[in-house]
Amino acid sequence: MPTISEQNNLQIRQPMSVSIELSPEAAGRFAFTLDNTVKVMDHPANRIPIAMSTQSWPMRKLADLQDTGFPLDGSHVLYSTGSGSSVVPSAANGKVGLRGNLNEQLHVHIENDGATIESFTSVSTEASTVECNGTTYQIPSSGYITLEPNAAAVDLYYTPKSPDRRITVSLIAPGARFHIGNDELISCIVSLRSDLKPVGPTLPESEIEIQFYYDEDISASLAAIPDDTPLTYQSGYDDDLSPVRTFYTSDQVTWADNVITIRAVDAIHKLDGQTVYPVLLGSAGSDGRSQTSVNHLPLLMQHEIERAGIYPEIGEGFAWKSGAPLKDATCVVTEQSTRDFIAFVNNFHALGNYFVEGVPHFWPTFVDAGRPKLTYLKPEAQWDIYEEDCGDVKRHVEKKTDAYRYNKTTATLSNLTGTEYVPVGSGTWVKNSGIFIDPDDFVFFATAQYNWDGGFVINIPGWVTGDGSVVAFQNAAVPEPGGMRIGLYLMGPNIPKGVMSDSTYDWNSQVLPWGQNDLLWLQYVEAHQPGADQADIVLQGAKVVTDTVEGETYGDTTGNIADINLGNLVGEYRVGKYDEAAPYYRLFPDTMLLNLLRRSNETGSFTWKGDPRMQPRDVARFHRLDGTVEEITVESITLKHEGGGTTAEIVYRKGVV
Amino acid sequence: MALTNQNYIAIDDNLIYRPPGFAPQMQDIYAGEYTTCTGKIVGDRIGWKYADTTLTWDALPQSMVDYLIGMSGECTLEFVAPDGTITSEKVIRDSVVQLQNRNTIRGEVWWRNVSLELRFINAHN
Repeated sequence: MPTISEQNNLQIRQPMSVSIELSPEAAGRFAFTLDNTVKVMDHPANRIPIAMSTQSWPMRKLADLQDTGFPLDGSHVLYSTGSGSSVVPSAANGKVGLRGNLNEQLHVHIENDGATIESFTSVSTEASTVECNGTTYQIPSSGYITLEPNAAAVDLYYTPKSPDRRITVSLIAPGARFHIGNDELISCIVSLRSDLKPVGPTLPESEIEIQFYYDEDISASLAAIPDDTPLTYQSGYDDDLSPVRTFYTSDQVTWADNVITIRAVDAIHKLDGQTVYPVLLGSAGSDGRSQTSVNHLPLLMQHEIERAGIYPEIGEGFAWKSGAPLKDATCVVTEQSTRDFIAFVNNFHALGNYFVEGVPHFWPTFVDAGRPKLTYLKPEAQWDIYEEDCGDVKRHVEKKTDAYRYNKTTATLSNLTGTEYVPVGSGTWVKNSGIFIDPDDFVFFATAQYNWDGGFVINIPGWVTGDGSVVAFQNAAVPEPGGMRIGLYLMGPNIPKGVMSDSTYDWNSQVLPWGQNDLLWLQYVEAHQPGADQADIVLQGAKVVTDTVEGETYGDTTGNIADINLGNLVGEYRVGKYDEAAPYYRLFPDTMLLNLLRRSNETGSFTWKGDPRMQPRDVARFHRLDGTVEEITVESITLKHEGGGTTAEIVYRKGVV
Repeated sequence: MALTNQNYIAIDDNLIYRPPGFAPQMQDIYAGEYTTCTGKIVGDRIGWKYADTTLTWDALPQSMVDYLIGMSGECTLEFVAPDGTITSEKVIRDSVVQLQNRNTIRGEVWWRNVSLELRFINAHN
């Protein structure tokens, strides 16, 4: 069977399959009455007592002669002649489906608990037509058909395609649902975007626009589809389909001139209106040294993304935590919109000086494009694109930047000695008991970290009090070597007391997201040493003062200077004792700006065959006509499925961004 | 009247003499085509169809010419393919019926040098 890679090596390719599914949840629960035209179903009664599935699903095939016969791989089940019996469940997962007799109509009577059935969708196989309350409709090849009977009861009669066919019905559910394949598709334009410009990048939204043929005016059903209804898209070949991308409807789904138009966007819009509260990332060791693991920033990014209801795939290397080279510095994230924050981290991802063979390797990046993924390490080239296969090849060179003039925010602790923390609370902490932290004035992040000096450190370093100052807390009063296990729990307004979130952490450094209205509950879960059933806790704090520094420059100021804002993040923030002789890793601006200055000012675009697996920010090897090979980072992909064919327009920036 | 032998073609079930040299050519259909920087055409082969063709007769009787003139919109063309199977295709007339010489032979009107252009609509995977 063809694969995407094999076909992309050919001058003339087989057409890709496109599969799109839109399945909004609609209110209503149908009751079905069946007669003896239905031969196999899940329940012995003629009336199915539970709703059929509201999502399409593949019914198992019968071991009869209409398909491939009797394969012994468990994919087919035995046929039963018991009318309306439960001899064979439709599927092991308990979903309810219906099957008819060979070459016989299948009759289903539907009622909606006394309410009018305005519209519904049926998904069937092997049926050519369906008669709905006396009107006959052709069923599209996808098997999906949406009808608008506007009646108190509906009688459906499905007719098989040919005498050797047995009808199955896997779904009858309220509302409009679609499966769009090549037969119906007129065009599908998938615009997958990132922003790789060095100054002022945004976190752009990706989108999909679909037009497909549908010869019934079902405008009323379409108008009822709510915004944000998930839509899945994948394409490729039967044995090599791209991973599913999920988009969300953004405009009204419309019907005009037998064409339905759907517009949808990726999940980035869910971040709109969301704010990152000021956060101090890092924790303080018992010796007062500030310790930050480089994974704190992407962890915060992950938290912000998940807080918006987006659950990204986490890339390789993300769990890497301890021993991070940035442990001697801490950073502060200032208050800003979540989209700005993610765009900022995406742009400055080469934070810190974590090098592998002299190359910055720490590379937290978030891309959605229907497949949200948070990656952690520098990407490697995974595609090969040959210029000879590309059309409309363009190259553009931007004005070169030699230096940046920037504003930055600084933060200072009220004490820098590490010995003058202000006690803000103390007590004996008994195993399995907990402490509530008054939430009123506090916003922020907490970290818990095992103290390698033998005790346990819990640090809740970033509480913003009502007057805007930041209080850093420290406890280093657990004497037991090996420490104890501590549970940090979030309790927000939507989380009832007693139901803890799953944020129980062991002694590796962790960040714990804490929203403005959340309670923080600290619970002593268990000791890792016998007898350590209680511990004395002292919470101490110190104020942090932030300031803004403007007009500093970095780079060769005799060349072109570009203005840039670094106010989103505060680096070089240290707590307590600091050993000047120890290796010191600067968060920024040096490393950030150095990496920006290294970024190529060369961009380009070309038309290509297109690969639906490709993501923005993927790195490719671009084989030039002259034999040279350069690495490029894909900024955007516009994948066009039109007239049965597929092409892609790709915009890139030279180098790995 | 159903098409039964290869001396005829049928347009909407009306039998007409098969035009001499009538041999519709299959042609591939491409989509997503673009020209690469080296001048190569790249694309997806999405199926095939019969190439548009011109039907030409040396002579046709008035009754058959009437069928041609009466073609309106989408019609069904049946013909015997080279492998002997009767093939049915949707076509539309793509030109006026060219009629140049009118003759009367034994009381029946015949037209000489008749031609019209046909466009095949169906595409096949």
